Order: sequence, then structure tokens, then C-alpha cells
Amino acid sequence: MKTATGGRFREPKVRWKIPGFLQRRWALLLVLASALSLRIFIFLNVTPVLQTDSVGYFFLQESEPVRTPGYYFFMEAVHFFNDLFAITSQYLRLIIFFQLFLLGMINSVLIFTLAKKISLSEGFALAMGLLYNLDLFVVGFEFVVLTETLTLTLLGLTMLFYGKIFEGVRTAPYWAGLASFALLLTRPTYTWLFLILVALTLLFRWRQFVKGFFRQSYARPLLIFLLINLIGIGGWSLRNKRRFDFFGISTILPYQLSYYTWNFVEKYRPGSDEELNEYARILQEVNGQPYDFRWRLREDRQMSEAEISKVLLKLNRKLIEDNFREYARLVPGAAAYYYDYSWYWLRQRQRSFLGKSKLVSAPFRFFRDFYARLFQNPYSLIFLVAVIPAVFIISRRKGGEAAHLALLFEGVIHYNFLVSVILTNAGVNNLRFRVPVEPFILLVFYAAVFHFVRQLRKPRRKPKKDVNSPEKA
Amino acid sequence: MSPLAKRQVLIGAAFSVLVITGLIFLWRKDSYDLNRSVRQVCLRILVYEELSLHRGSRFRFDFQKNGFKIFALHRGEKSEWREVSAITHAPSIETSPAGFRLDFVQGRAEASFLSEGRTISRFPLSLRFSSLRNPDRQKGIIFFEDGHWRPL
Repeated sequence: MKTATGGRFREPKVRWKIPGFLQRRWALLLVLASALSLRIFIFLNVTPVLQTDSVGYFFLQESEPVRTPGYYFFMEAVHFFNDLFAITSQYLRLIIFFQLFLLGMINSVLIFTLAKKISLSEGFALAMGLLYNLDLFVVGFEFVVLTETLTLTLLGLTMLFYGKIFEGVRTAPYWAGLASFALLLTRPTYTWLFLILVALTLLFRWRQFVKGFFRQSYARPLLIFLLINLIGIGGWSLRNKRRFDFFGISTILPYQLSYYTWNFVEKYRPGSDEELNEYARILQEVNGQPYDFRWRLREDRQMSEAEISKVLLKLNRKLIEDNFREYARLVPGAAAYYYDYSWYWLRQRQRSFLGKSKLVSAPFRFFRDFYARLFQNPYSLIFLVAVIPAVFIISRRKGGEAAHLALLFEGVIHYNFLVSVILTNAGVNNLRFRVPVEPFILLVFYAAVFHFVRQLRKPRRKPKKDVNSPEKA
Repeated sequence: MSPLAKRQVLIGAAFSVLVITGLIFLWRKDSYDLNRSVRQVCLRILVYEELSLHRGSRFRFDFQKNGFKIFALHRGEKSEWREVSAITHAPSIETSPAGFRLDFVQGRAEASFLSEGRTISRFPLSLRFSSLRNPDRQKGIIFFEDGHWRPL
């Protein structure tokens, strides 16, 4: 093409520039893309099936005090939009869709973000984001109608926002408080978690706390976090008191304890309380099965849920106090179930999609075998959940927020273990209770390994020579 | 964009979503009630199929025009059906045919309906839901002889 002056006009070359946003977030976008493609593959190849434990979560208005309402709300919200816009009549598949593509994707981002905070490395965060999606034990629960995936999302959000309090984000205590309250409404196991988090922070920052600097900076946000939780717990307990004549978050505890006591229910020693002895006789007649006991008292004596729960708690406490050795003998078994790596929960569903593609199934199978070896060997398990994290935290104790976050993760992991194991001996259910903290167990483990490798590869500084040393002289 | 402006945009967007959802809800209330009633019945069928399979108990749904009752077979000295709960649909929703019955045995939902004291089982059977305010709006669940069913 000629220009007016006769010279040749050179067409400007089109230079493709990657937008700044993509450049800055490439690692996160890669995690999201891999998480999304994997979930599309799973969703197309999986047929959702109900678990027996799923059946109680569908009808919010008929919720009983034995269950907390978090998962009901999630399902009801999903169904509300479906009823409004008449999207599909495959109701279970719809729940699975939201668990995979909403909660699952949020979880991937949370693991990425928390990994970045704990390691201060984008590369490590990218690796953890990708690895999270290949842990079938956790991802597998995204296509089961149970509370695990939602619990993991809320636990991750609680940890993220709680950590942000110490970055000086003003709204963080409110979001952390709300996430923590939603978490305990989804799974009552986490009722006391907010206190554990604050206690661990005080422990970690004890020197600053004593000197007064900590109190000036963080007393107000921590108080807000505590107050939101306390008001939430109090409010929900009052609602239960008014509606069911029961003050508390949930009546699940006696039923969970029964998984221990049904093993020695025949050893009940009658006491001075005749009424309690009569209930114990009924419990023995149903072989200590708590839900049959509830059915009997409800049908034969027209007792309310709160009354049955109170009676069952009294019976269980007496049984455990009188037979403490029997109880203590069963605790290691419950712990072993908690840290097992069985495929009970996912057996039916994993076959449906792992057989479809070798490319997808190979990494899933590799990590399944690797984690199964880690978790099923008692020595490697102790290293995984106790020794390596402890060494990591101690070696990074002056590492600021990263070490604080690692300590909080360990607090959550061991709190979940203690509550799940001491209060129930529910066999494969104990294994299920580990799911929400499983990504954090692996996150701290991998972060520790990453830290140690980085330390080994770092060139050591030579000590400065002292000018007054005798060598110089 | 300043942090304050960002926050204002976020709050505005959240508020707009709430208002728009509310308006759509009011506009489509009939349709929502109809879909909700069908969903409630379908999910209950899934639940009681699971319960009858794993607990080995027998359950029954008896439908009336404005709702349905759930019964469980109580095996005492003599077997009898005891009412477990009664579900009422939204006031604008009606089910037909009256006398429609579902029996849950070993994880299967067996459909039938009672007409003039006789049990009629001509498959496929359909349970229809209609809106009283807008009779054109109808939905249903179809039941086959082998125990399969699906919402229409």
C-alpha cells in the first residue's frame, strides 16, 4: 500500500499482550481450569445415589433438633432457584452439580490461597491446588449427598478470614465469625472451634500479648469474632429451647455416644433412680441401638425429642462412668477407623468414572495408593500428623503469619480428631468425619516437606570472620 | 477503583440480585408452588425407597386433593398402618386422582389408586399436580409397573 508521500505504509504488527490480570493470576486460573475440567468429566460420568445418612437432609421445615440446619439451607437454596426457574427434575443431580461446580471450585481456590499463605510460594500453591483435585477421598464426597464438602468449604473460609484478621483486614472478624457460625450449624462437632482458634493465637503471640501491643491491635477484632460466635450459638440454642424445649445446638451427642455404649449396655448397674433403671431396661431390650430406643420412647411413651435425648445422655454417661475401662479399650479402635483409608463411602461411585479414562484414573489411583500407605502404617501416620508438622512449626516459629497459620491448621486437625474419636465409635462414620480436615493434614505435610527441601537447597552463609579473632592475629 | 467504590458496587449488586429474585418469585409464584410440590413428593419417594430398602420396613403414601399422608406398617401383636406424618401442599396446588397410593416395599415404589373401593393398577399410572389459580399449569409423576418412576 502506498502512502500520500509515495512511501510504503507498513501495517502495524498486531502484538498479542496477555492482560495484566491474567499475568498476575495465571497460577490460580490454572488451578481453576484443571478443577473445572476434572469436575465436568466426573459430572458426566457419575450417577448420584442416596446414602442412608442423606435421607434426613431434604426437608428444612421438618428438621429435628438432632440435626443442625446448615446443609438443609444449602439444599433448600439450590432447590429454591430450581423451583423458581424449573431448570431440571433431576433433583439429586442438581445438588451434586452445585457441590461439584460451586463448593468444589471454592475449595480448590481456598486450598490454593491457604497454601500460598503457609508457604509464601506461588509454585507450591499451584501444586497444592492441583493435588487437591486428585485426592479422590475428598473430591469423591462432592458427588455424595452428605455434609462433608460444605463443611470443608466453611472450615476453609473460617481459616482464611480468621487469618486475615492478623493482616489487618477490617471486615475479616465479621466474615470469620459468620463462617465459623455457619460451620457449627453444618456440623456441631465444630461448636468449640472458635475458642480453640483464639486460644492458639494467644499461645502463639503470648510475648506480644504480655507486652500489650497485641491487645491494642487485635483485641477488638478477636472480640468481634468471639461475640458473633457466642451470639450465634446462644440464638440458635434459644430457638431450640422455644421450639423443642431443649437448650443447645443439637441433640446428636447422646446418639453418637451410643456407638460406644452399645458394646457394654448389658453391664448397666441399676442405681437409686428407678425411672432411669426402667429406661436402661428398654435400652437393653433394643441392644443399645439409640434410634430404636428413640422409636420405642416416642411410640410407647409419647416422649419428645428433647426428653429422649436427655434420658439417653444420662444413661450413656452412667454407662461410661461405671465401665470406663470398657470405654477406654474401644477408643484406639475408633481412632484407627478415623485414620483408616477404606473405600467404603465411594466404592459404588468411583467405579462409574474411574473406568472411563485411563488418563484420569491413573493419577487418582496413584495418589489413592500413596495416601493409603501413609495413613495405614502407624509409623508413617505419626510422622504425617504429629512429628513433621511439629518440627515444621517449631522451625518456623519466627516465620510470622505462616507459622501461625500452620499452628491453627494443626489445632483444627487435632481438635477434629479428638472430638470425633472421643465422642463416637461409629466405625466407617469415623472415617467420614476426617474428610473436612484431610486437605489440611496433607497441606501442612507438603508445606513442611517443601520448607525442609528449600532449606537444604539454600546456600548456607559463611560466618563472618571476627577481626579480633586469634586467627587474624 | 477505590476500595469504597468496590464495596458499594458489591453491595449494590447483592441488593439488586435479591430484589430481582424477589420480583421473579412474586411473578412466578404459581409455577414455584407447583414445582415445589412435585419436588417435595419426588424427594420423599427417594427417601422412603431408601428407608424401605435399608430398614426393611414398609411405608405407604395416601394422596388426597390437598396433600398426602405417610404411614408406616407397625408390626406388633397385629400389623397395622400408623400415620407417620401428613404433608399439605401449597393452597393453590391440587393433586389428582384422589385415592392415589404408593406402597414402598424393599426399595420399590408400587403405585395404585383406589376407585369406588377397588384397587386399580393400569400402568403406566400418573400422579398429576395442577395449579388452581392457573389450570393450564400442570405437572406430574409417571409410575411404571416395574417400580420405575420419573417426574414429567
